[in-house]
Amino acid sequence: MKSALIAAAAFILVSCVTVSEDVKSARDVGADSVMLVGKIEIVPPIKPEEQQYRAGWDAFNTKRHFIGRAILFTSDTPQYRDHTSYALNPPLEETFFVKLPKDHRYVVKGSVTMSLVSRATSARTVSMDQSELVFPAPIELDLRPGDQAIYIGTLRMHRDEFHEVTKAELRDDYAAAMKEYRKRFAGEPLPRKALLKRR
Amino acid sequence: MKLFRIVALTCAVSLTACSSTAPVSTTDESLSLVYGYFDMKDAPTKVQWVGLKQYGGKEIGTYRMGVEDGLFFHVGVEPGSYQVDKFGGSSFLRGDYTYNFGGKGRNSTAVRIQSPGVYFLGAHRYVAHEGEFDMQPAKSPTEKEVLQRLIKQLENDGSLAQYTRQLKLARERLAQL
Repeated sequence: MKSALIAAAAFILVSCVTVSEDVKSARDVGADSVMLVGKIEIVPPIKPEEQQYRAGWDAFNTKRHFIGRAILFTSDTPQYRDHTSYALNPPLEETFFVKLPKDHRYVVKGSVTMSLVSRATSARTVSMDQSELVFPAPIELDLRPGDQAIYIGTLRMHRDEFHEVTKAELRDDYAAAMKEYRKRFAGEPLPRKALLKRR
Repeated sequence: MKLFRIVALTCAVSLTACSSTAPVSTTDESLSLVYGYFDMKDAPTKVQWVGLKQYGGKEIGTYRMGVEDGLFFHVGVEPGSYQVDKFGGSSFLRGDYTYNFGGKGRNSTAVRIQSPGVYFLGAHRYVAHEGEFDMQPAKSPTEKEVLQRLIKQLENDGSLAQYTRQLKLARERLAQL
């Protein structure tokens, strides 16, 4: 049982979790991390009006973590725990470049937030309504000690009107992704192909 | 599924804000009768209201269904895709509770209403575990038993007497069971 007052995922994201949104330069990825290159497609794609975010005062612009993006919590073990402290925050429907600690080889929880809406319920209380499109998990990443960057594939998730994933498939778009990688990280060694696998 | 304890007025404010209070038309033949049952014996409170949310594209709205001893129903549901999203109740000892049932994809009450009729959302039992809860499909009461109770209610509640088409549909369904 949890109080609605402390359920705001926005606070969780800014206060307890390190979030990787986008890698701009290969230098941003230290020796203890690896760059993940891939893509997430939702079928049919999520229209902007389908996502609602109204969580009151948003001093840290946490809205950007939710709209048009997925949140993938990672861990060194395949179990999700409340204190899992690292999350990838890739954009949907486009090739992403995010950074992951090398010892985090599992995606333990993944979702797209469809609604996160706070409602005043009295002069002193609010409730938080949240609904998510939840990804299949855990997913294991094929990380190897010498990796600087890996390509994990295009994860295509089919959904129904209830925001339920009805089918998940992986597509190998390595050539197209490498074209974008070269544009952004000219001269850097290409990522190793290490397609995702369901644990 | 998370169980949210909310200090005051949650359900009243959040659900009535997006639902109509106009009486259901007695002549509209596109409307369906929807019903189900929640066994809350092991829950912190009884269930006193149930929110049936419409899905599909832009979120459209929620029907607030009345509850009588676990039986919940609505006599005027338009075609569309629905599932129970939230429900709630209160007790003197524990205050008001809202149970969030629909936040993580499809649940076992999901239904697609494509043509007018009677739709059973199932019987479910509240099961607590580690600070959260599940609504597990239950074999008892059966659809027949729930429908018998519903028919009695439609027959005896004066405010529902005008919904003769829904009563006829319910009796027809009962005859099939």
